[in-house]
Amino acid sequence: MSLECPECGAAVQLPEDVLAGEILACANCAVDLDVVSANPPEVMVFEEDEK
Amino acid sequence: MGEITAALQTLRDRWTERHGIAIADLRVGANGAVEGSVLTRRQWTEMTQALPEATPSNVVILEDRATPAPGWREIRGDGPVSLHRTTDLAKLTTEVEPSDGALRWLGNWGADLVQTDDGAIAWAAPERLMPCDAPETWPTLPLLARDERLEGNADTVDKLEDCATTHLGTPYVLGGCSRQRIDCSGLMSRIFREVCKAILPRHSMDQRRCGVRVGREDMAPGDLVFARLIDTRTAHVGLLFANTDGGLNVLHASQRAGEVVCETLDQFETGYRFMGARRVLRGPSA
Repeated sequence: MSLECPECGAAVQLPEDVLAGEILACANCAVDLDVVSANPPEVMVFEEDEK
Repeated sequence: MGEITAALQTLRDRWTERHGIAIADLRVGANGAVEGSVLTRRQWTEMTQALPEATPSNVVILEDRATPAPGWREIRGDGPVSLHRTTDLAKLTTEVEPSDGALRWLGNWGADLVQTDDGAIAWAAPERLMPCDAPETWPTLPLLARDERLEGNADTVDKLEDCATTHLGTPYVLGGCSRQRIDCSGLMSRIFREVCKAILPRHSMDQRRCGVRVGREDMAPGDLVFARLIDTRTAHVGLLFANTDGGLNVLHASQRAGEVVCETLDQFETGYRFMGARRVLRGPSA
């Protein structure tokens, strides 16, 4: 599965066994992406809550 | 030159608003070039964007390890030293032990600004530190880089478990990184430093970039499991070990329990939502 990084537009490959809630890094811009949904695939930029 | 000076002041004001203080020594040299130092690469980028004509080629970035440090410090006395996010030393961000070695000293602005070997930059009370010679190599242990793995095997996993078990019951304190108090990423940092003689990044979201991705169904003993506190975006990390039922246990510094605990993966996931797993060991059965 491939979709577009919301930050830089580069293609992001989602592993076949990816789960909703996983955090993946864009290989191009390194931004953290939150897998909102695995099927259909949807990601959004993840920003951690300040501790 | 007046415009450059004004632009530099605008930058200092912005950084002060952002951090409470601007760690920047910037001035205009005789030839019109900007000279001095900034703390971070982000600040350097902002400076070059604000002053494209000013040739800021003589500005060092203090956080860069390749930049000669203004000084070095070692810990005075016994026990860990607390490092804080702010100059008032009120917000614990990490701790260093005397055995962790020298700290890069970046300067004093009411408190000492230091950089630890795992990359953290924070404030310390000067009275716990004393000047020392620059170490021959720094960091003295290898720092695990993005996507990098450590050599290890089943024996390494056993040693990680033995070491991690000695931390059971240690109170959870955000920013803690010692035997007296510890947080989730601090626990991982201490265990891998002691057993693998390697340094993990200090914070869990940076630890998440080490090693290689492992799917949830392929997790194995020795892997790091990352999760978020349910209904939050607060990242958390634990270490996986085999349990006697053929499943996996998670050993972690639990914010919920208030201490380092070991529980089954199922128990762990009653309070944390799976966010990923990373294999940081490379070797037979690891």
